[in-house]
Amino acid sequence: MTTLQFIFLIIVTSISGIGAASEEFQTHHPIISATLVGIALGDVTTGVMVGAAVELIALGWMTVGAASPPDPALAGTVAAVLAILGHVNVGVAVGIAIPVAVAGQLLQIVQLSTIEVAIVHLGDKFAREGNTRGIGFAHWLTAVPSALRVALPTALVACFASASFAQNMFNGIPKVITGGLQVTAGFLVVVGYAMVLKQINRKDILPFFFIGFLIMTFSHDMTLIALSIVGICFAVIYYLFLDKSATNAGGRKVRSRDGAAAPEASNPEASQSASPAVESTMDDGKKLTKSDLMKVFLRTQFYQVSWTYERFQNLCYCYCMVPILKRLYPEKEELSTALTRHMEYFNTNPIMASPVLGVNAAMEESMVHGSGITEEAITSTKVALMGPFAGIGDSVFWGILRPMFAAIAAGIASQGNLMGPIFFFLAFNIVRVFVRYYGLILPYKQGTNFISMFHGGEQKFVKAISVLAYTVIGGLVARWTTINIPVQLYSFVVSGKTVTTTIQDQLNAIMPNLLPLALTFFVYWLLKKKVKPTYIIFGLMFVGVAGYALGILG
Amino acid sequence: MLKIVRLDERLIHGQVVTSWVTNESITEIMVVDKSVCNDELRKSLMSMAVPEYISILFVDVDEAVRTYEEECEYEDLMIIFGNPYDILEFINKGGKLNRVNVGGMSCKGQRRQVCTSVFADEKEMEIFREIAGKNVVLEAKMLPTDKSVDLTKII
Repeated sequence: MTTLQFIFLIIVTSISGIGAASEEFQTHHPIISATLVGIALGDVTTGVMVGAAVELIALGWMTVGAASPPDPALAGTVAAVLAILGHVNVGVAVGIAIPVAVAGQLLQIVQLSTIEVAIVHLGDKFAREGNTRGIGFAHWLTAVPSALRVALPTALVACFASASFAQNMFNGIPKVITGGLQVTAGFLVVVGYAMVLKQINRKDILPFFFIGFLIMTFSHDMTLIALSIVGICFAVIYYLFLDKSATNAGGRKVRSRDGAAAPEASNPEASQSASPAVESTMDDGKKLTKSDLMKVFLRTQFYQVSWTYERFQNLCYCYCMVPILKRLYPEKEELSTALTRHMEYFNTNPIMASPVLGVNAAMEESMVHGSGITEEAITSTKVALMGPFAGIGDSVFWGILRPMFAAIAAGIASQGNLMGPIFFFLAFNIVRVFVRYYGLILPYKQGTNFISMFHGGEQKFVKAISVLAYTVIGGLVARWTTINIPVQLYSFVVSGKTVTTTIQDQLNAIMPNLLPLALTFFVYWLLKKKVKPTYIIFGLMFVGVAGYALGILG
Repeated sequence: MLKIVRLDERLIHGQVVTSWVTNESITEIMVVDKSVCNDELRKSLMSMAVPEYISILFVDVDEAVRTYEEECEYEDLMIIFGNPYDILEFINKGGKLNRVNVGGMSCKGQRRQVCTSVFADEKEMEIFREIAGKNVVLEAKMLPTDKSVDLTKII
């Protein structure tokens, strides 16, 4: 490792660290974080391959609310560094990186509940002073600890792995362990598949999983992209013809029984908030322009950087509101009150914060022009939107779309093809930027009325993309999971040649890929029984090494 | 069957929809919050966030006490409260609880941090003690896979 490479390594791991905090560009996901390390250290192919292996295990890791999984960024960077500088095989790299990622999770919790909280308190001070530059400074300052949290541990591992004593140590690892972990890497990925299956949890669309599985098992020319197109067709057909659950919430019981008599308008805020933005005719310079909204859009590109365990996204939200507030409250006094108001507790799915910002901008504008909307109404609308939007955003973006894109990308990348990470980056970010932009502009124009645009069809849509995800994951189980039992059953001599039959041959005669399928459902069942994913991962590693040592697995 | 009782200021959100509902195989969610009952916007938003095979009930405390046992006979129920006061009222009016999962209470006003995800002021702490005094286990836990913190011991 040259000095230049080391500097590059620090830079790319910092990018992954900031990605882990903001969860915006997904640069923290192993398939990207490991690839970046590969680029920095001059071995792209290994980086991509390691990234794909870790990505499949990490498919189901997601941050929801304030709960965080093992750190995917660190898992990717550390595994790539070990494979490239330490020259260990992918299995060993993954075997060491997973415990590091679990430790990284604790490090992240400490960071987000101490250093970052102190920086956000600095933000409070700037808000009281009406200092918008200061708020920006505090928001961006929180990126530094996030970057270091991934960069420093990775740099340490890099220095360690390139030292000669470490190389000797790695070489000294018994063949049983290295070979065993390599075998394990072939089927550890089922943990990722099972977690996604459990997360989507729709038994009625399980047939699509099996169709995907069968297509990939019996058609060897089929690529994952082609399977995705088949999946999209299934999703459309399902959405249009097969989904029997009625839309408009008609199929679902929603009952409201509050005991009291007729539901009077006891919550005026709600009816106010439902009104669209009041078009102001007054030209007092307090009208929001398109460029103000564009500024908000640009600021949301690193929305969640300043997340903390105290008031969650308060500084993130306030920072994004600055262009709006500066336009509407030119007086310093008013500005500081408004900024302080937006430093209150807020938390939702980061991408779904955009519609809240849009609605909020419209309400704030009409409040300034005397429409009768109150500050309390704005706060209560924020509160009303954040929970449900978190529910939708977490299940759609983290629960279905990201794992699906990541799974396809990892399939492409498994032999070191750089198109894998590029596909993942583009696919997710195109969707994200689309939602960020229209999710800000439409709610701004329509207020909370934009919610009625969905006509209650959003759960139907979620189910349709679940069909696509199931198809793709079924295919992955078939094509990118490797279990082999080379135990010899019998052998006989046919015309001078010895033919041996192993257990694997017998199983293949029943159906190829039977073991990956069975293992996926076994892990799924364990997860259902509330066994922790990390325990399952370590359990499978143990089984892999033991099986290899005994000659059962190979 | 009453699967889980949760205290969460944000009522229905990501952790509930992506984790608890699937983990506990919930078929019905009962949201106990008077202000939500009268708020069409919040009701439609919350129904949007929940998968269509799960039904949702919006009730106040009185109605919750009156109906939860009947609902439990037919459904795998999750009850979500928005604040500790409602839980105490629910118990005082005859609701039977063994265990409350405390999901999240935000940091605002005079509240101090009790554990990672729970902030409470003096009055709310008093309510917590009173609930705990009725042999109800209060465990702070954001997700099913998280380590649970026994609030009864902290307060």
